[in-house]
Amino acid sequence: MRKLVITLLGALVLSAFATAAASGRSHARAAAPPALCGTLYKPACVAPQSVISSIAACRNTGATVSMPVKLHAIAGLKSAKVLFRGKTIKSLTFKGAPQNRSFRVSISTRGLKAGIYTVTVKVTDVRGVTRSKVAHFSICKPKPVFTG
Amino acid sequence: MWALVLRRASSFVICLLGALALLSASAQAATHAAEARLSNETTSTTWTVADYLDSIRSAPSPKARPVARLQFQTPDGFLQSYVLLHERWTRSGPWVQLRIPGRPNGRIGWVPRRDLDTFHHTNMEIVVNREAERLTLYRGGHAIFQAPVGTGKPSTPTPAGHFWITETFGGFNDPFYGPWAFGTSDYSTLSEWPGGGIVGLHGTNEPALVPGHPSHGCIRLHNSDVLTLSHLVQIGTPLLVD
Repeated sequence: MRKLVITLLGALVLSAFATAAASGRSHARAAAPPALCGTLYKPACVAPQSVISSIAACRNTGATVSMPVKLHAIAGLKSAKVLFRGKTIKSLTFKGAPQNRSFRVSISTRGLKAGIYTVTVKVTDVRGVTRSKVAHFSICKPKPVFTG
Repeated sequence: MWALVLRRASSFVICLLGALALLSASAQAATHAAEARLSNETTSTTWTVADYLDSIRSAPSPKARPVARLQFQTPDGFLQSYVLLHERWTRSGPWVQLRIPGRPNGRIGWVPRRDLDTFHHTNMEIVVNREAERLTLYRGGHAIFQAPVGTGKPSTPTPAGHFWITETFGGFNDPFYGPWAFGTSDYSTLSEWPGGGIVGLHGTNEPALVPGHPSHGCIRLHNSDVLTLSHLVQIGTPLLVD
């Protein structure tokens, strides 16, 4: 009887470990990153991130497109670039390796033809790791063509 | 002696069964954690646009059959939006199940998460009841606006199903569509129509025909009602045609 109880307890402990490991895996994505990374006692650094959202609605030619950008790097931000039509339209260098920075990109659409345009944000952390994120906006003269 | 062996054997089997049951329960919990629902299309809807053009596949795997392709633009030049239904984590990374705009209506498929832009959320929903000839706008499940509508004739009915708002138009100066119009992901039965036969939700220059069934598939509203909607409805709002 004692053996039975011990075995059952063992199975319970094993199962609890398995459940904890499974939930740990599932929550790992949502968990907040540690303040430091890449040391012997801390998890490995992940790549820097930039958040810039596409604009679903159409813009008329001549309007100014304004897009907020958020940057994040656990290891610390080193620099960021914003590219539009093959040219760098904004270049930033960060002092003190901040982990978060926000800014706004404003693009004049004067002279742009109707179509899809892409803005690319390149962010580099203090380790030299670079990641890119694209966002799109559309220039058009919106006129509905529905079945009526 | 035999009684002791039998007792030990039975206790071992009980332990084994118990451990197996517990392990399977934890494995099941892990499987559920690997998939998340992104929209119920009533009180919570997630939508986005494409960052990269890629195949939309029948299952969350790069080897699954392609069923369509992500598009950047709608036929009217807006960025093409997609309503997102589920997210699943697989060995090849996270995948997202989405509704596919276009003919035939009602298709769904999977794309890698990396192909999609930032997710947006809305708690609004438009319900068009064709039989009652009525549109109701819900916010968080509560009706906040109602209006009579004109829908498709019996020969060109407004297709039913789950759709969403893909375009918003104002200042286009066409009295036929009234002062404001919304494009939807619903495609009418008229496939040869310019622009592919998008079902619009718009005003009208023939208010006497609303409510009723006067259209080629579009949903017509009185001009004052469509103007009210213009302040409340954004791209990505789900549309249920009942």
